[in-house]
Amino acid sequence: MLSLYAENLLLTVGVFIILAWACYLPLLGGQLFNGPIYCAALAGYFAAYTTKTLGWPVPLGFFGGIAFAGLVSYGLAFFLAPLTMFQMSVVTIALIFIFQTTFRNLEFLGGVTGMSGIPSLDHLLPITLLAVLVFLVLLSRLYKSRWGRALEAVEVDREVSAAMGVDVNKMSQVLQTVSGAMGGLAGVIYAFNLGTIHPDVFGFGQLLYCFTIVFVGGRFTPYGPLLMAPVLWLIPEFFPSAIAEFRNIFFGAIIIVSLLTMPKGVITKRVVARVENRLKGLAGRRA
Amino acid sequence: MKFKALLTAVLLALVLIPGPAAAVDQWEVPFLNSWTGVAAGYGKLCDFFQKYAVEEINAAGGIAGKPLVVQDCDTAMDPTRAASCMKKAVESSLVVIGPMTSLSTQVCAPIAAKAGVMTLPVAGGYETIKDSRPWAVVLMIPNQRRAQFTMNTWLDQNPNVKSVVMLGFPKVAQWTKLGDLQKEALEKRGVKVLENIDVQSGAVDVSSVVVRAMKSKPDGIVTRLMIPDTVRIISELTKRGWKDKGAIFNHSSADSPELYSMSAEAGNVLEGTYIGSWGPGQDSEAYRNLLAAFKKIKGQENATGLMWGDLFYVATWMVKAAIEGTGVTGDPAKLQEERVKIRDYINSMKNFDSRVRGPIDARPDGTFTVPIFLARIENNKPVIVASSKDFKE
Repeated sequence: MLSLYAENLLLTVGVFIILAWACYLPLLGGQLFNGPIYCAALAGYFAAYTTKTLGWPVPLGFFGGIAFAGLVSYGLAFFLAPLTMFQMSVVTIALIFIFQTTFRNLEFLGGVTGMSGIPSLDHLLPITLLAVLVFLVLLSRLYKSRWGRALEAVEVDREVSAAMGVDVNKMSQVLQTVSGAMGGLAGVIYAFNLGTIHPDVFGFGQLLYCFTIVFVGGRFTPYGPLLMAPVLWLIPEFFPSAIAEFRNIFFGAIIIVSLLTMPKGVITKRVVARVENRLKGLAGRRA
Repeated sequence: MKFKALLTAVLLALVLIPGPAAAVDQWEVPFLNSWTGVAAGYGKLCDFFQKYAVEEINAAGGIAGKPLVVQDCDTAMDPTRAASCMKKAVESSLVVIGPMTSLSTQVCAPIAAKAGVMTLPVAGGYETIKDSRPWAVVLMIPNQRRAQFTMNTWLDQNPNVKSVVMLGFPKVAQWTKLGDLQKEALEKRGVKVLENIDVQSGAVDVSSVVVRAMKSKPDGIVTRLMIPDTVRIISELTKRGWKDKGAIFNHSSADSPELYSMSAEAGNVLEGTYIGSWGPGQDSEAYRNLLAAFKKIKGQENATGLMWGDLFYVATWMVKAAIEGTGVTGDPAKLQEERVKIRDYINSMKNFDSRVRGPIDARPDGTFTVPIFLARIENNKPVIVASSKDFKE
């Protein structure tokens, strides 16, 4: 039986891993898509409103939130898909602010103070861990699949990939929809875990935090966020309160040093290949 | 004769038989506060007062003879981190002090209530603990009453103010909510709110905000800002020709010794303005000691009051009173039962000697009767004009 603190720790880290993967996935196709952040907010608010105010059953609010975020992301993808990497980044940052301001001003969603007293969902931790496991398997397979290589090609050169028959726009739409739904999953887990959702939670700060996880962890494999989400969350957790004001300096220094010494992140493709070879070697020796 | 002997025996027994002994070597109480993040300035102030109370309590023999040890947890004004702190705190604690901000309280109070642990957010805002009663209490008066009191008494001093511009820091949700309530109170008195302008904290140049505010030609200005931003905005207003200082009202978020020092350095720019003030404390030895320590340790030589950080000092003494008053032992086997005792004790406190704020009572809604004041700034000191104790809505 896990303590309340340990359970919360696993849930929080789970939310950050899923959110970071949601940011990582479009990056594979060369898209700096910040949608997971506003999708997390949309899904969280949807789940909170439907379960608390409308009295929907909690599982329905949970899946409804994810579907709602995916649908919004799918709808927006029609307009966002043709954009270049930087255009998309700017537009989706603007969307974060637009959604945030909207939530702040909608009184039926609690306005500036957000919503509290959201009902809890049973078995949230096993659901979260299962989701992390499923995404890990899928992203690991994607990373080695033909689709993964196609995404890599789009990242390297969008025009050449299009000339070679890759439907770049469709690929972008799929990536944004899946990424939005993943962000939505993170949002509903967050809302049901804390029982509260607030417009300031899923803002620019959260975006920076997620991309820090992705870039420091390594943006070329799905294993980076898996390692860095718990590490970055736990550093402040165990930092002595007597020197708490220096925590952000320490935190920033780690990021700068790691990016200067390991520009591709802590876990690169080479690191993954090396680990795989070693594991194969061990398996071979045993056989 | 027999009756007298029996009575003496009973009284002797009551005096000599010790109460339940503490089952712990020390009383560990979690303290949730923001040492980092946007509200770190306030957090450090609260930390000073809370730690001072711990020092005093331990110097006077601790709680039921055992030392009080505080377990700090930095919420960093981040709700996710605040939840983590509270979930850790409720595992084995009898009672929790904090968190400090409304946003953190909004997340933490329901966690404490669900776990059945009494929490003292102190300043978290009554609105954020409503659903977590009776497991949470605050020492500040509700925003609704605060807005009614400050706006009405300020308008009483400024009958010519018929229109205002509000300047607020948008990142603190409760201040934004308070802004809505201030607006409501002003409009009830027939005062028009021309504009509500967001002011980002720490901006080097506030001229554009001030020009925008003055362009509307308001009779008065209402601010809800951090301390340095209040001074910066009023300096800019003065520079741009604002004459009637009495027609400026500053929210109590700025009422701190630092405000008056900064005002003096900026050429007494706050002179004549009004402020929601925490007022002077109680005329007691404890208050004088605390003020002297605050002046010395925090370098606030000109301090005339303690702002609201001293409410954490009060909360810490409340914890001591509750543990000793209920006779709880801290025995893990009786944890739930003792938590309920602490909750009931705090919720029914009457005439509690806060040491620095006079005697205070718990109210049925979870607030305590700590008053706030309307003050006019004269010679860089707040001079009390009205008290919320005397205010009738």
